[in-house]
Amino acid sequence: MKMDRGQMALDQKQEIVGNSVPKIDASIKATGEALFAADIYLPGMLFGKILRSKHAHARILDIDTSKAEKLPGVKAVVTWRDAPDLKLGMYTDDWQFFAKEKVRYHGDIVAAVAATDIEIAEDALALIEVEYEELPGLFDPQDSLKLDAPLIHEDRPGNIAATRKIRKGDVEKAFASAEHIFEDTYQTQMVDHCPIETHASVAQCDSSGKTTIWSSSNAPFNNRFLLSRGLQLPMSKLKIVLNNVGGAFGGKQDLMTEPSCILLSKKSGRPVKIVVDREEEFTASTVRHPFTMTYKTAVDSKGKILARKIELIQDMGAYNDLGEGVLRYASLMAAGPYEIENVWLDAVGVYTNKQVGGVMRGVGVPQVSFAGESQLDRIAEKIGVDPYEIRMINALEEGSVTANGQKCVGIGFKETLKAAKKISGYEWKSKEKNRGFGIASMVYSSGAAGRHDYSSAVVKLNEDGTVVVLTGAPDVGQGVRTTLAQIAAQTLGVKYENCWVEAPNTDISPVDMYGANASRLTVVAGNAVMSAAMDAKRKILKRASEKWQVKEEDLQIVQGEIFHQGQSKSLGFFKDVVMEMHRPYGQTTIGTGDCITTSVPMDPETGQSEAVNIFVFATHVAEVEVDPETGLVKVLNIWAAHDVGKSINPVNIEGQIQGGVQMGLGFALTENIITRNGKTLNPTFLDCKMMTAADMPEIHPIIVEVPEPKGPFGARGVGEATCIPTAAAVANAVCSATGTRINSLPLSPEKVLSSLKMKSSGKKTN
Amino acid sequence: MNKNITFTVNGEPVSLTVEPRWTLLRVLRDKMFLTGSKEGCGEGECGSCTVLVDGKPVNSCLMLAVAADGKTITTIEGLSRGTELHPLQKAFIEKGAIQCGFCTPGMVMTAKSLLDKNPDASAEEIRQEMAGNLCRCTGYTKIVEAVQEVAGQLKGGCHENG
Ligand code: FES
Ligand code: FES
Repeated sequence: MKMDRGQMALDQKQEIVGNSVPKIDASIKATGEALFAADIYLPGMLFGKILRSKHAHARILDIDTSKAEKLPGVKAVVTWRDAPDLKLGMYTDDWQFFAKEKVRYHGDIVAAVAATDIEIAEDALALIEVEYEELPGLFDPQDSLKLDAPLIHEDRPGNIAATRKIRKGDVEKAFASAEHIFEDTYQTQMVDHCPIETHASVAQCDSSGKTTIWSSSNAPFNNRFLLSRGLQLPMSKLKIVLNNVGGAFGGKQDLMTEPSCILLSKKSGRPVKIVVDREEEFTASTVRHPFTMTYKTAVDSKGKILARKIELIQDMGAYNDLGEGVLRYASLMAAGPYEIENVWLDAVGVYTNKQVGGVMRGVGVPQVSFAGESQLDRIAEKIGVDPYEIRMINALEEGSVTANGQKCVGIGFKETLKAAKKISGYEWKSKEKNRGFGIASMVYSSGAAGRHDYSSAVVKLNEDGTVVVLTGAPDVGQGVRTTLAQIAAQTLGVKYENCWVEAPNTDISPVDMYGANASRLTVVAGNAVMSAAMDAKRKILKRASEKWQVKEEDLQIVQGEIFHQGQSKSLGFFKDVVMEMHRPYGQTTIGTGDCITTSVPMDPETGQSEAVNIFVFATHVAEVEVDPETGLVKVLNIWAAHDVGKSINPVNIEGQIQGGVQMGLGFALTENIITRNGKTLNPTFLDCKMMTAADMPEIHPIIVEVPEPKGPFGARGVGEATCIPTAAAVANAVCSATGTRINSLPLSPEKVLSSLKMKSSGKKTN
Repeated sequence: MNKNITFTVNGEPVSLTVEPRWTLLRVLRDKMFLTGSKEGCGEGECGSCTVLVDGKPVNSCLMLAVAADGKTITTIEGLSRGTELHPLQKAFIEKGAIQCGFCTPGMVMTAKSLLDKNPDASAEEIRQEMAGNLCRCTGYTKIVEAVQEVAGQLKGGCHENG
């Protein structure tokens, strides 16, 4: 029997959302064709290098570039004199593209050189003479907070960069009558984002004043905003183009190369490329802020948390940059994913003469999760409640109110706990010596928390019925272009293969405010694309309804064919209607759409507000084995249960989870940037070690789907949550395996060994 | 002193003049515009610059260009035949082993040399052999799965390309 094609389309009405379609850009990445910023070569292009500070804190008395300028092959040297004399920043105007009076850390840019060859540029750096007057440096936030401490920024009293408070209920009253009170202090270390692609950009300033920048950025519109302010250029003269970005994890919006590149191109009249080397990446790019966290928690004998009093000290580094945002996130999530009646939090971000902290996957929450979840385990152990149960007892659920006074709607936290326990076979008390399970959970936000967040999109229909999506959403490897293509295809009713999502170009793409940050793109850019696709679809269906004299609302598009409700034979092709808009009407069908989130700024005194756009929850279970001879922690398995709302592309999500856990394990065990007097001592992969293929345990992603009312197709962002609870899960597993608890990261063999020794000698280990 | 070198790159004979301090990676990228090989560290610690020199995987950021004189080099650009991808490239795509893709060329080259040597490598062998190639995105699981998939095909004898 001959099959009716229309019926076949309806029968196969395959859901694109929920399917692991191959990534839009996977094949060009497999062949090496994909161009990254450093792969751009333009005619006449020069190669740039950046001179950074020799000191952690010093006054600049003089910069003499004359010798460098005379070196054959050098075409331009720039310093603060070449840029508008102003300070700027995302939250606080404390940073200048080029250091002028002072350097405040080793990464401060003093000058930049462009030459015909990279080696000449390197040689020229050595010829720049900078006269410094060294100033006393501050390398520990506790020192910065001392009354007689020198000021890193003269206009920032007390070296305080940011503060945050939460006041809910009455903690002191709860402490006064509580059965059990625990107080512990935790510390986390400095780590780098370590994208395998270092920061890079190519700038070309032409004689009309137009500047084009090919960048490795993860937030092009953010960058355009700052570059436009900092260089006093109208946005129409600044075009930022992204091709492919080799990983970012929040770290590639810090304008590490772009201002130098632009000014060198302007001065030389030639395109300039700057690619930072790995050492520079380790020493001068932004890092995960080290935190010191004191938690005082009251519980009753069943394990119900009655109050939590938390103090956070964030080592901001030399500039505020995005640190204030990190402090906000850490504060919002510090109490953990639990309903607690009484919460008090004081958080302070403190300047030091060290590397600048930025946003890094999880934005301050991996730090507070380590503290809060480690302590919760200690409490469970002491009062004799299973750590899984204590989490279930206190878990946020439908209608619960968070520390910031926000009601939870449509959340699946308990589901992640249950799934992680069931699938992992988690056991509280270890049966084998030196082996154990650990459990830890987290709460996060999808979409910028405590800030307005928005994105716009354009869906353009080509004459042949194929689709181009314009968005400012940068794909840094997380696969957002694929996700958005799936959303557009599903919404329009066309095939995935027929949807192309163009990489951001700030002249062409509509604005996306914060880029690849805050696990926001699936939700914020996704909703924008969905609404743009619906807009385009409406236009096509309107034309179709006129053409076939049927009601618009009775039409549907399936796999590129238009159907009248209840009929299995299609009326015609989507592409033909699109073509008919072109001829005879001369119209390109364009749909536009936007998304703005409902997030509200936190109250400065109480922290109370609807700050979180969408709540995200996860639970990790770790199984470890500890070698008592060496102190080495071997992670055997990680089960990572994430409530993703709706899994738009399951393979992509598994990949996000596996990659996030790798980052979480590095944070837990091996990664640690060591500085002495502000200078980084181990700026190599060899000495600051991330997990390799041989080090990695089995990672078992567990996808939980409790639909999110505000997400496209019920989805919520998952990218960052994946690395958040891992470190606490590992620390808790180490404690279960050995009986010793370590309150600072990383859990290095030395620390584990010394805590084992202390335990056997009967000393307290906390 | 600059030196003339002659070598074969992806099947084509190439002669050029190189400075003594140039690395092979520098020549491949900056002089021949073969930008598929990436520089992740320049210090032999990440493997993103991996190419095959006489069939063996080499960190091209460490090898001086003068040392490539007379050698046969295969880069990622030499692996696919036109639009026909190498089975490893296909497996990387199908298994979802590519996220940002910056490590991918180096991963694929290392995997190729591994399977050339050991066509039915186990997951554990793959993990050990590929430990010199860093990836910050994937957690390696899907990369190992992709390589295993091709190892399985090789074992089954249905593989003829490269
Ligand atoms: S670039 Fe050669 S090993 Fe990293
Ligand atoms: S896919 Fe990004 S580094 Fe491997």
